[in-house]
Amino acid sequence: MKKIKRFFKLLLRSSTGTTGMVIVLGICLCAIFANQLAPHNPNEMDLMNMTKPPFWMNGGDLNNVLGTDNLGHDILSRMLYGARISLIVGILATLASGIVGMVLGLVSGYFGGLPDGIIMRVADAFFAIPGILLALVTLMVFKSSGILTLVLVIAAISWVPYARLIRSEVLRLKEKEYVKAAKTVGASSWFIIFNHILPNVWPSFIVISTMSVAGSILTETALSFLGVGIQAPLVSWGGMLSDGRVLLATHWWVATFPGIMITIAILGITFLGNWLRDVLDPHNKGL
Amino acid sequence: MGNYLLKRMLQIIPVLLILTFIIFCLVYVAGDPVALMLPPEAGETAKAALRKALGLDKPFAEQYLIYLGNLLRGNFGTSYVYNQDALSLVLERIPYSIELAMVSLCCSVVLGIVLGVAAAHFRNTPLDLFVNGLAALGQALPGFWVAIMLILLFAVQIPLLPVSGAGTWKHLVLPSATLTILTSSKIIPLIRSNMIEVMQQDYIRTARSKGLRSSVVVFKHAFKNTLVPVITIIAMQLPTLLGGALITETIFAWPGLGMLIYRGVANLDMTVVQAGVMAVAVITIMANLVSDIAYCLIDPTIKYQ
Repeated sequence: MKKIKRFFKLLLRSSTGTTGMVIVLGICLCAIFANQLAPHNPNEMDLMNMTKPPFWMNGGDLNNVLGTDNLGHDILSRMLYGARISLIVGILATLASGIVGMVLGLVSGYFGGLPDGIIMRVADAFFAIPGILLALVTLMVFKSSGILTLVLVIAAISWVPYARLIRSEVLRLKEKEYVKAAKTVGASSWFIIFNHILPNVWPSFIVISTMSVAGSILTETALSFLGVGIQAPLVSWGGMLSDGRVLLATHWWVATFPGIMITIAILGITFLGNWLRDVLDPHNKGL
Repeated sequence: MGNYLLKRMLQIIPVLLILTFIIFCLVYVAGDPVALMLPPEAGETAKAALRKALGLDKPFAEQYLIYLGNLLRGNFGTSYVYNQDALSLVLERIPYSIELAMVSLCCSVVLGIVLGVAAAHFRNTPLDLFVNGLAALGQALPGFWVAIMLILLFAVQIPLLPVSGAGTWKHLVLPSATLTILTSSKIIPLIRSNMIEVMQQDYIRTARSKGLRSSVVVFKHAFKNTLVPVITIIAMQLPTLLGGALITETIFAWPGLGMLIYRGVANLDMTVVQAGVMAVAVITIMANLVSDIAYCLIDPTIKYQ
């Protein structure tokens, strides 16, 4: 209880941290309560109201606050449902890449030698291909476009920074006296990793994970924009942008609002991540 | 340093091997291209004959070894779609990608240095806050949305610039502006934090206490020492700009490497995809190697094991 209180006290002291938290909470609420908040079914086609402008423009009304696209879908409702997909993909991909990167980084850093050599060379190889390129080729090749495939592919292209960061942290921690002491009294490698190394790696892990959620969401929207990510009837922000692109010359709002939504979401997560980085930094006072 | 560089170069070999393996696996899973190469009315016997001629009936390991052997001889195969040597297709497109990448990189570095140094010099003023905000916004913007909004503004609302193709400098403006917005927003915070660190060094204090003008201290003493991270940034961004700019290239129909690969993927023209991805990977590895060598030359305090 005391810790939670302290957490909020620290959060309220930072304006960017608070802004980030508010945005992230807002998007989470949108995603959770999309059913209740959305004024329309996101896949309901209203053929009488195709490409209706937002309410403040001529021809728009409050029934479709942000207008409709060329199939008469309500843009606001689709954006709310899109938040759901983006958050699910972002969080799951981060979890998957985080776990893989963490395990590989721990093994690589702690044991060194051949495992380290192999893991780091594989990491170099993954690092040499731009992630979006590898993801695009993989998704096209496997011809499957469920959420799970998307999550796995995004995880596969984003584990490298985790592995490298965790490895360098482990290399540093390995030289600490308490680790050496534990070794001297005969503690097993895995005991040392779980009890002495892991707890000290957490802060960096949390910070990089927050940033990774933002990165994964951006990758998901980009892949959906290219047409290999989320497929209809599921709604994604990237897909909405892709639909709006062809209507750009005549109906600007279709592509504009999802883009603003993505930007706000990423900004919020980045602010929160930056704040967490400052707070969890052992050189600052911390939590 | 010699030893370090030798070790660094030797490390490239396993990385390239792993890369070829990843790429080969993807192509293998993609299935055989025979159906694409023959007319639709071709019978099963014709398909089987072509498969045999291409060596596609051999086991996985053997196919991989043959593929490696071909790569070593510079043979990347023939594109099924363009009916042309895949490597020469890639080499044709690379100049376009380099042109776009270089223009964007130069603009980003200049913009990054100017804004980063300014923000560091006027730390905690409204200017600093503004630059920081701009950089945070730039990092949050999805690249494809920036491209679309630039088209909306400068081609639809105010018809100033062409939206697709290559040829004149006008074609270069929108795609390079997109990439500059994305890249410079990553450079600004790095230059800023590095500059702030340098400004707290003893030699800066000495220079100030000598009574030098502020501009001399900033540009002559501090700025030079922020150049080391600029090299890392260039090495890190170059591959992203060359191969990862595929969305920007696709939106503006810029005939670079990214678009070639994207079209290749869409047409299941896997030889082109293979050659393109390999080219991007080799450029990345080389860029990293060159940046490491540049470090040794520029900063004598960096030690290598």
